[in-house]
Amino acid sequence: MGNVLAASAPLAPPPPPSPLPPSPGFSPSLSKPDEETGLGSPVEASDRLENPGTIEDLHKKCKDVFPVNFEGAKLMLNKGLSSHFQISHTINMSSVTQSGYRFGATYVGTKQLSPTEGYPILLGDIDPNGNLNANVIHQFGSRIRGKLATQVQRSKYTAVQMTSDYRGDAYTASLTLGNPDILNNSGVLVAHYLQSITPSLALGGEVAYQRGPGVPGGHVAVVSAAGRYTNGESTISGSLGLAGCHICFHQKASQQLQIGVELEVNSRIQESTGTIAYQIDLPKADLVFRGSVDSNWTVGAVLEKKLLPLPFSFALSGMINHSKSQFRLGCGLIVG
Amino acid sequence: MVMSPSTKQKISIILDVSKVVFHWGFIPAVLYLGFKKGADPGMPPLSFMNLLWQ
Repeated sequence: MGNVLAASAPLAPPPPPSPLPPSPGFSPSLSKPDEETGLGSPVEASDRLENPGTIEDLHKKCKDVFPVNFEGAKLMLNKGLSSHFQISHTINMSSVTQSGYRFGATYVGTKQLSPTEGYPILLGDIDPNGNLNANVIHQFGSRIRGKLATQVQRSKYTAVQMTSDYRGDAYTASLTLGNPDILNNSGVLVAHYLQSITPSLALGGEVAYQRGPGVPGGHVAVVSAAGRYTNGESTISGSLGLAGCHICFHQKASQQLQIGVELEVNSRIQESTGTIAYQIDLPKADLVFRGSVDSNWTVGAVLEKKLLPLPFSFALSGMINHSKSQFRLGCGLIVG
Repeated sequence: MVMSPSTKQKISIILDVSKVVFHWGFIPAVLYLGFKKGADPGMPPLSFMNLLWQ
């Protein structure tokens, strides 16, 4: 059961394309991490360095603290038919997102890498109109992992993303292809590299190349740099590019409390947002509470409680924006 | 990369067909794999009704 649940990752949309061409003014700051990569990787320490994970998961620790707000009523029925196979029925009633029924299925293959990991993983969900989310994840050998994520809406492929990650001893390199179209010669190609410099520091970079008829000049490339520094229970991660910067800070304050701070600056639309979030785990009460407040005056919170000994969990979500006078309430019941 | 119109048309037909097959075949394929793997040892065998309720 645990491996089926661990596999249910949400579909990530392809990286947002940037219409801005790279200007040379930013390149000195961007090339800095690469120089440090070359200088700061001592051979004798390389056996102690761990794999830094992927750039996609760079801010994950901080992002997990943030509440994921939803609106309306949600009833979800999870059913594990075997340790390799799980299905779900979801009924969603909402005035903001799409309402209705969805059927989900997850299959975890028999190639076991660890007791909690099996490959290949196939997971998908579909609604009666044929809107499909499909994910396929497979591990080739011990180092290469391939992912395919697609989204079909109204019989059109709205998002297709193919990723392959190579996990070295102290680095991860990934290549992502988004919305490829051979006939129109369009698509997005993203290359990621993240290297552990010291056990607490990882630096890397990203090159995104977009090609298509809607892009000024036919094609565009965007470079950005990323890094993460871990000090005991606190982690700071950041990415800096031409389109802006994104800094996350995560601190585990105690066994129960985790705090995350995020600063997002978008230079293209001249906007920046700061958010503070916290997560409280109360294992004795089977309760997780996540709350956040940001600089747009949005306050959000999600409460999740397991109703043991029944196989139910209950979720309550609330979000209020004081400046726009908006309020959204959601409640959900997950069975199984 | 320049392709002749006939090659382009052939590729587009192949792509369209494979897209439709993937779209409508993915969930049945997941269900097929799950049923083929069968129930865990010592558990009652799976049946189609398992998808709906016990």
